[in-house]
Amino acid sequence: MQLIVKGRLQGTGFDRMLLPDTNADGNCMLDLAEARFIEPYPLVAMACFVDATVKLQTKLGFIPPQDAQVSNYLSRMGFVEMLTKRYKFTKQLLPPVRATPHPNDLIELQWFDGSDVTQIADFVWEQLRRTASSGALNALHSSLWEIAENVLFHAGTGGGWIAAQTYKRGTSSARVDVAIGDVGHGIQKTMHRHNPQTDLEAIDLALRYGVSGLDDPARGIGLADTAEQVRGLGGVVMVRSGNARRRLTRQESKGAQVTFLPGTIVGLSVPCG
Amino acid sequence: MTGITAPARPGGRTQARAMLEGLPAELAGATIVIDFGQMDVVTPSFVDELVLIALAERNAAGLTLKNVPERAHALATRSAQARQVTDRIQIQLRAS
Repeated sequence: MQLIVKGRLQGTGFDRMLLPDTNADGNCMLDLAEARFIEPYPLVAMACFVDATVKLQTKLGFIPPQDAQVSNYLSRMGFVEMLTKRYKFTKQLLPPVRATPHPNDLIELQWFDGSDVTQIADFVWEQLRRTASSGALNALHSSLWEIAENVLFHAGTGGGWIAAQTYKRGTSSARVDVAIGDVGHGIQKTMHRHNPQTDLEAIDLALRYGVSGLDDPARGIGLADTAEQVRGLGGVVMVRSGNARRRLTRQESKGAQVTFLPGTIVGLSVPCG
Repeated sequence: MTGITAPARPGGRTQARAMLEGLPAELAGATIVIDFGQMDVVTPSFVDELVLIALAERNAAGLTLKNVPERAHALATRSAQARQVTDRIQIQLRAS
């Protein structure tokens, strides 16, 4: 796999820039030379990409961003630390930056397990309770729990990656983007009892009320409720698993074939007004 | 009758299970009362897990949810219907 980022890496851009082949040396490549801007969904997707290359036991080439702001962002949000730890890099990957968080940072890229979710959800609540609507607070709290527990119960990885960012209008929070991802079993395997033929079919099953990977007709409510709440607020939901992605807004639902990446990534963009 | 107060911002299934872990494994004949009065926000899985544990797994004679916000009311109703235990659940809406 190669991830060659050109320009702004936002929304579904990650899926366009992720290529299935290795480079000429047979290695995976993370080329951020021309990256200009990175949002939480692609940031978490990049962490999953790195974990996937570790899982595949391939070498990973890394070309750092030329843009100082992107370098700063990746350091601040914990991506450089994550990459350094995963690959045990001994040399400095990016020039040192000031560690002061940006006012828009909400949750830097972090690995969570079962013991961290309460702390993360409470932190988001406290940060946003004065500036976000009750609908947005409800949707964010509920979604964080539902998606995180899906990772913990079904991914088989023991945890996953999370990152979040606020986008402000004046002193108010205009929008919160949050993403949660793992490189675990993926939705198609979790949903095997329903015999989905494709990753997209499996994603669509997971988005339906009362359909789950377990033998319990009352389960399978978390992701469906998340999608309903976020779409109801005028937000965006993206679910990527295996080689498929579904993007949902209030008006439309679009499925797409994408380059295979193991596991599942869910991205939410929640308006706060 | 056993009374429990739900937290302000409950999480998912894990927290529901932790909240009820002190109850006996068999609840036949007992009514469990859970007060949602402090609750600011709710998750569907938390509510479903309460219904699952109290009524389906431990066979309580009744589950009463008090001071329930509207969203939690809808979630508890859906969960009770899916688990076919509507005859043993009482959901009392929070006064607005």
